[in-house]
Amino acid sequence: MSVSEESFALIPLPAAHVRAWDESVVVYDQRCGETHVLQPPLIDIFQALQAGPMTPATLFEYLEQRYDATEGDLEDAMQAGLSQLRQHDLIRVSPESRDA
Amino acid sequence: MIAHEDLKARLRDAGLAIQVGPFVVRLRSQLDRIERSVALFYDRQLLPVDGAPFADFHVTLARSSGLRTVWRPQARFFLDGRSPFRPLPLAHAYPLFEWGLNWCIAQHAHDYLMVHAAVLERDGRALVMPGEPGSGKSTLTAALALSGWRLLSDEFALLSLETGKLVALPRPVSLKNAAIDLIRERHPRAIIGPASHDTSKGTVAHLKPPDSSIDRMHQQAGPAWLVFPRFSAGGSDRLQPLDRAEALLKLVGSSFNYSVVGGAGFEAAANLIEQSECLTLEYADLDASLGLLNAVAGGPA
Repeated sequence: MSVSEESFALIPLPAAHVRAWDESVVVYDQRCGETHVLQPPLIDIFQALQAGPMTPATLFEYLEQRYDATEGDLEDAMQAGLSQLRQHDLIRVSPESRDA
Repeated sequence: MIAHEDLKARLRDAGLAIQVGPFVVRLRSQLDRIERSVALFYDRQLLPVDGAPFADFHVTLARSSGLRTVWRPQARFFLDGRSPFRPLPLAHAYPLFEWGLNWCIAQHAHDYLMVHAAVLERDGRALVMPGEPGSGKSTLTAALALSGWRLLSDEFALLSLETGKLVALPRPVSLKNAAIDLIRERHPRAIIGPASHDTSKGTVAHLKPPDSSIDRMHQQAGPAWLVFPRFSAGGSDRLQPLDRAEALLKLVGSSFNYSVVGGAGFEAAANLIEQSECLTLEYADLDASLGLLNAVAGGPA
């Protein structure tokens, strides 16, 4: 049986269009010409997704290792960050299939 | 050097070819004011007729026709025979030429990321100073250019998308209002043209770039400092570090063609940020601010 779970993936970005400086990551989206400045905790979500697509659960685990926050606060921050990245159109959500 | 009579004849006939950094401007005009100003400011940049078969911009400054102009004479700017602006009073013909040339460059020079900024250089390292009107940018630029820095540009930073370096566009520095007398008093030997009063920017007079800046116009310079000046009357002069992401947004916000040149423009701007010390300058006293800028560059020029 196959159960689908959404996963998040960054849109393809040329390396030269992503610059990590101090407390910010600057991203240029050549599809629309927008320049985005990402700051924590958005940076951590963005950098996690640079390694490859992630489900909310794996992303949460990744963030949990970096932030000393309650589970609820971290979940809220992660959802807010994902929502912002979606607003910027920098991530895609896709169903992920796995055997259960 | 071209004799004044030759200059006048060519200006009125086939046109003068003027080398302005990477561009060649073919200028025609029968206006005495244009003739005098070109002879004063661009005498070292005139090309021999045979040596300039191609021009980037074909510009004409002419007196407007029509009944109204009998008692209110006006000058009109033409690019390739078309006039993109409304005419200005004849007394503003020379500022109109300079502003019109800004427009020509901003509309066409997309081999560069163009930023509304002054650029100066010391020891091959460029200082880029974007500035809003009233920021004191032109005053600082004039004072630096007259005290040992090489002037690349007063109004336009041309950042080559190919080399990532700043390309010189040596043109007269546009001084406004109180800055005119300030620079005259500090540098009595500086060549400053006649003032045009009651322009949209107040009183305007142009400062001729030092000869050495014109002679080296084809030398590019790598970015080293990105400084955003802000005039603060009665404030204190200070340089402060600026976050690089914020500096990038301010830099591209001052660009004429960031949205036109796309990813190449972002890469050029981001590379400039990475190669530069990014600072804000609160500017109240000219000597104090010049001291701060010179200190950043390693001492007096």
